[in-house]
Amino acid sequence: MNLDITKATRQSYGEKLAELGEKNKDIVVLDADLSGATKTSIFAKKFPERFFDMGISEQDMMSTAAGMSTFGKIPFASSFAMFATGRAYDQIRNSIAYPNLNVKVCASHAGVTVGEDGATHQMIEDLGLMRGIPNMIVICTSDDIETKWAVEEISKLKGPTYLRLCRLATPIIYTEKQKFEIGKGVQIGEGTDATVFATGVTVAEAIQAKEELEKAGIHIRVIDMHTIKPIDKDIIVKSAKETKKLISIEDHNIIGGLRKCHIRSFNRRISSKIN
Amino acid sequence: MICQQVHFGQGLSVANGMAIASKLNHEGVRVYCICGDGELQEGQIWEAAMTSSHYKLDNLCLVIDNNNLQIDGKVNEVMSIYPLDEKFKSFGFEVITIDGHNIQKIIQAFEKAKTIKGKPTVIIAKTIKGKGISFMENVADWHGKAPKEEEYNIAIEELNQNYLYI
Repeated sequence: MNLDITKATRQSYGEKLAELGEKNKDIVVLDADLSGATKTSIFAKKFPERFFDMGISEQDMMSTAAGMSTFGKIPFASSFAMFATGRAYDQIRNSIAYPNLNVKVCASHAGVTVGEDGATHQMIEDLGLMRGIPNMIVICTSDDIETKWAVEEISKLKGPTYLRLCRLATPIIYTEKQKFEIGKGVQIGEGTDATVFATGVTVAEAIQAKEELEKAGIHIRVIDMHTIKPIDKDIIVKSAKETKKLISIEDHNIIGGLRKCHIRSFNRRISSKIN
Repeated sequence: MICQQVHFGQGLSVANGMAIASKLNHEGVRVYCICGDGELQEGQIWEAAMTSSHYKLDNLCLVIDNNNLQIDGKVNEVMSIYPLDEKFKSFGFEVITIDGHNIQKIIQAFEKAKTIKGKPTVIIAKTIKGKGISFMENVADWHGKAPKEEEYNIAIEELNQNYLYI
């Protein structure tokens, strides 16, 4: 991982979406007056006839996307995580997920790393909100390579999906050779002293911590949990068996986030197997 | 295609999405959306009304079931939505107001809506909730409850007397 080469996952999202738009004419993109920030503007410039700015009306945007999907379109609806999953929660739940429609909610500016946009925009509840909705797949990517994989993967997947993206530029962790699979965490390192589970922007931070700890003779492994739902229970069981401690770091409230997934998996699966 | 899993206040947005997609697909499909009058109190309806007009959805026809009753009572007393025709006109709709119990008028309104180009149409159908059943007419309480067997039998009898086609 080269700390000097950085890119924000929202940028990777915008670039990949514009690339996919060439191949797949069913892809339509909706935004709520934030296309410059969510980077859907890249798609908008290339395919103006398939881009719909809905104005500052996230609720209308989500239900409109739902309607489009019933006619075979693959709508990607973007805004900041706060407005997409907060203001339009009811619409995502009832217009999109309840009828199991093929809408991709891709929200940027998630977590406290939004920085100077302030507390009103720092969405630290979105994973919890989206995880709780039946039919919803929840993904939170950590770098450019992983985000581009995820955007393509969810465009092929039928059903409602939430993709969590970030504002800050973060290091590029992976190479093009890296293989990903929805619902499968990526293990980085073989250390057995502890496992650090991370997702999104915290993965690069965890890898840096791993490298620092190695100098001190402490050997940990990092698991990139890019899929929050369905959670990779197997890798949690494996890590618990092979390492002494499980730690999770996330740019999210511990209520409803990655940590909650682990505790739940641990209670259900590990307690019986570890003994 | 019928999409009936839509939550109150969200139907017009979903219909807009269908109408936009239909235009993109060059399918020539017309989209009909029925809304209650009480749900017009939801802000999303007016977000959606902007969208219908902004994207010039002349393949969309909205029908308002305007019986002036909602769960807590009369719409104009709970939270007034009026004047409805002026509101929709100012949002860029072609507005047709009819007696919602007159089949001929309903058919005429749908036919007229097909001829309107460059903007959406709304049919404001003035109706009476529970029409044709003496003890249900204009009673808000029947918004969301099923009749008991005895009430059901009376209701069916009255409907048979009042409407030959049932």
